Amino acid sequence: MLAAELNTSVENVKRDLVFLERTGVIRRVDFAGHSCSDCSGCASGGNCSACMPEGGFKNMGTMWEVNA
Amino acid sequence: MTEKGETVIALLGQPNSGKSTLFNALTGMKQHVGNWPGKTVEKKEGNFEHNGTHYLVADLPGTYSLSANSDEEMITRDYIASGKADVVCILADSSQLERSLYMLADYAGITVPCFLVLNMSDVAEEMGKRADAKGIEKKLGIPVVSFSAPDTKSYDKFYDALERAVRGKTAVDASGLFERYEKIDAYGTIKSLIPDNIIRGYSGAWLAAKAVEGDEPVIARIKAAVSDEDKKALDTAISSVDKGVVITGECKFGWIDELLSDTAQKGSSGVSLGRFDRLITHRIWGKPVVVLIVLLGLIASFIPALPLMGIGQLISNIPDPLSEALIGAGCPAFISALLCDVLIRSVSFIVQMLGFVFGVTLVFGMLEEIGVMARISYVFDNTMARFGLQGKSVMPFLISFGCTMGGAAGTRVIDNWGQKVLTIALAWAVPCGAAWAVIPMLSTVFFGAWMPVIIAVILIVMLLHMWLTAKIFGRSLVKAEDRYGMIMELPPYHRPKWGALLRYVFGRTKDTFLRALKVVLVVALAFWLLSYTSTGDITSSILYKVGHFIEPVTKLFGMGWQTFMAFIASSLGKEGALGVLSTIFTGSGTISVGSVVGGAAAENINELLVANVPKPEALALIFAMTFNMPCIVALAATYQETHSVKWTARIALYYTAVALILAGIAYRIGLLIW
Repeated sequence: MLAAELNTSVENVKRDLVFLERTGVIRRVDFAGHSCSDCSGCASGGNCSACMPEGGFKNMGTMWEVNA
Repeated sequence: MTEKGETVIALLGQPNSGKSTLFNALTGMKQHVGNWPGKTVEKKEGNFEHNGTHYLVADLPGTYSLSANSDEEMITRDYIASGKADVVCILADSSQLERSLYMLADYAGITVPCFLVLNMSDVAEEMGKRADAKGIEKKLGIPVVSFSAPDTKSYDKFYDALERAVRGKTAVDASGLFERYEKIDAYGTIKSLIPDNIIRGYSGAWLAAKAVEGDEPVIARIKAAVSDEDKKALDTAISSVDKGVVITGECKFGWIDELLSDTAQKGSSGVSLGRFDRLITHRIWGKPVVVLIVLLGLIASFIPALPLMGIGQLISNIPDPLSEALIGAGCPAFISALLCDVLIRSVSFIVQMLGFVFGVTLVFGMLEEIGVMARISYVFDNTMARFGLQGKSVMPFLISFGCTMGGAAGTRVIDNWGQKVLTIALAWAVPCGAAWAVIPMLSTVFFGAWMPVIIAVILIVMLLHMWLTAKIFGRSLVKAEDRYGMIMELPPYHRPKWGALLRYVFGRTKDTFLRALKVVLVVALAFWLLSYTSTGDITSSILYKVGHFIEPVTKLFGMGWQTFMAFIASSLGKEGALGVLSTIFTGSGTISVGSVVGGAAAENINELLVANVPKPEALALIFAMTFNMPCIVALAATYQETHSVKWTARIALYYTAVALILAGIAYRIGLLIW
């Protein structure tokens, strides 16, 4: 969609994303940032299967945010 | 050249460009591995002989560029500047030339002889991509070879390019790139201040470009070689550049695109979206489609819930005959009532709600596995931006569907405190796993087949609630400058991994069962004890007296004192409300209050509830419970993440107040309907 809006190819969008990420302009959001240890006092006794699938939500795609 | 007369080749390329495959193919068993001096980065060297010439191959660390961002990049730069390499072999991945030629563009301006290897040509061909090596060679002025490193039969082309580069001392013709650099305001000034040959092998153009990028080691080397006056001029020029690395990057990519414009066939990487993606990401139809998917998901989750609902109702038929049998057998009434009114009725409720936990988790877990959930979060990204939230807030919300505490902990990925607090405040509105179990179950008990409608209305109210909450809290928590965009790459559709999905579904169902059992039993026991009287006269119990005292106030919110007690208990955990309902509205035994509150006779707890709680009041209770604070543990987690008593209390009071207001509204709407 971004490629269509910018009138370029998907390959070029991917290239620019890699470049912007490498140069620190954007950063990849780490969805795996949440771990069981974050929930101290968790009612399920640290059993994350109560909150999310095994290994977290893996099919949410990739997200980047613009660095402030 | 080494002391042994070996010609030194340095392999330079981005990670996964096939450097190691080439290195292994060239050197075979003649390799030695160590570390680069003073670094923990692996150093690999090896030897080979071709046409009577001995070569030493240095496999440089895989790096994206030649900037000074990491140890690997610094090692690579220093090695080239050391003059040890006679020739640099630059590798690029033919299957993604536009991206991998960035290393070549970053190398352009270095005068150490080089040649270019377009590796993985077989992969590129499979993708319909083709590169004209001769055409690129003509434009660059260096030998260019297109081949596949694992194909040992094609190495003649590689050796030929290598020998030509060594013999001709070929350097990249980057005049086109330098012309682009010249258009950068500060570039000319900086370049004019750089003396010749301050770093061996690196041209003034390359150094000037790196200075524009703000490359500290390069800037330090230039400053060490110029006068104080030039240092000031250099500082002024460099500080005038904003995001220099992006500006030079645009020059490099522009140069690459020009290089490939008539020398590479791109294959079919056109923009095409599937029919479903076009629909779900549509500006107008996207949101309605998402709402429809969620509704269908809820209806679908009702199907696996039905059998457990039936089992739960069967269990609720057990207490009456069991109580009679126990008392007939001489069992004390207290023990019989405890077993029948507290334990079995609580288990009956829990089993009924487990079906919904199972169904909702299965259906929405499957949507996530398939890749639909990512598209849903994409569609609602602009809505979240309107709330003043970052795109990544979607993850805490998603986790909150399981557990609000997990959602609160999940906000650790948000580094802006205000946005973190706002995300937690909004995550409270997302129905958690317990709510997904209790609310559909109660809705089914009271409203039967209208349950999906009740849930749909709750979801709409949830969105309005979030919008209102964002408006109220957002002003003081999130500043306009804190709001910035995000880019999302949607995942391809997957087939669900049934094993992992079912483990998740059963894990969550089991966890909910254990948690609910604890909460419901404790609350049921506590309220049962509060309603206990030795005479069997409920009107003299503590619960009845307190209830009647507060009822004039609770009626304002559409709830009698009994349902209001359930609302209060739901603050501890949504399941707690079931403990209260199962205790207060039981109809058997000598010490329960069920017969007093309603006087209705019924076969099981569901029928008792329907007989004793009017529909408008039931609707008020459902809304009050849904939008009440999630549970006591979520409250603690909110404090833990926000480190603010003020904001934790503010959010808790706000939710309690909104829940009561919504209950009052729901009750009055209910009166109009029923």
